[in-house]
Amino acid sequence: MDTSPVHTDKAFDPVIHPLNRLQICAALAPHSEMEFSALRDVLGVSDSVLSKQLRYLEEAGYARLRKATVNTRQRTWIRLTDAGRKAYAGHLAALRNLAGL
Amino acid sequence: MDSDQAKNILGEMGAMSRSSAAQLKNPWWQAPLLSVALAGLVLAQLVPSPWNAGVALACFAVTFLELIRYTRQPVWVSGWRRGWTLPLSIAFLVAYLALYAASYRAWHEGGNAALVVALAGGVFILTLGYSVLWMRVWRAEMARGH
Repeated sequence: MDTSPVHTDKAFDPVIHPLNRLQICAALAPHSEMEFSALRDVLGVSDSVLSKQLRYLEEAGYARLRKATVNTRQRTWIRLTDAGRKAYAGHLAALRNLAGL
Repeated sequence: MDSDQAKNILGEMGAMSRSSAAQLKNPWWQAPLLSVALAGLVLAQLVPSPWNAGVALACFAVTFLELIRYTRQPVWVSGWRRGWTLPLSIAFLVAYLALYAASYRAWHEGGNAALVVALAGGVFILTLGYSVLWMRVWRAEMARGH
């Protein structure tokens, strides 16, 4: 019987399959919440690119945004939802399976 | 996608998570401040009424305000997150409540102020130790890629 890892596209979550969204999940995963500018700096992308990708994650129910005023400035914190954490963990598991790890 | 590409992506994601985890920096005074506030709740019992309620409220206010400040940092992690830190947090809560209950009995049933002060010292050390240990466990988990 062949026990080698099987790769099918179904194993990967289509929402976080694009590398930039996967990177967003990887950056958010260690934290409960991360502020927009901190996330942008870790990823090394522009505000508009990050906003666009976050919109995809938010619409899929994988990320939630919270706004608060700090020192008269409006700031946004982002967190992975339980569904987002589950999708990210599943995606990593599929990658490990494919990599034979 | 082949196996090598999958390994590369996993490596990149691990590096990204570690880089992101390194962003969490708590000020040096955070753990001592919370330790003083929680120990203060125990000591408040020794203060004559009605001032004891004021001291207890002040301790709660310090804890609450610090929580607000903490959740407005660029990154923050809940003490109740899943992982090895969760049993640590539960153990801390149980130990704190046990020490508080012991101090309540010592003061209200025995009038033993010295024991209440000693238990407050215990709460201070417990909270400080919990803070340091929690951060070490979390950092170890992040280093392992969890």
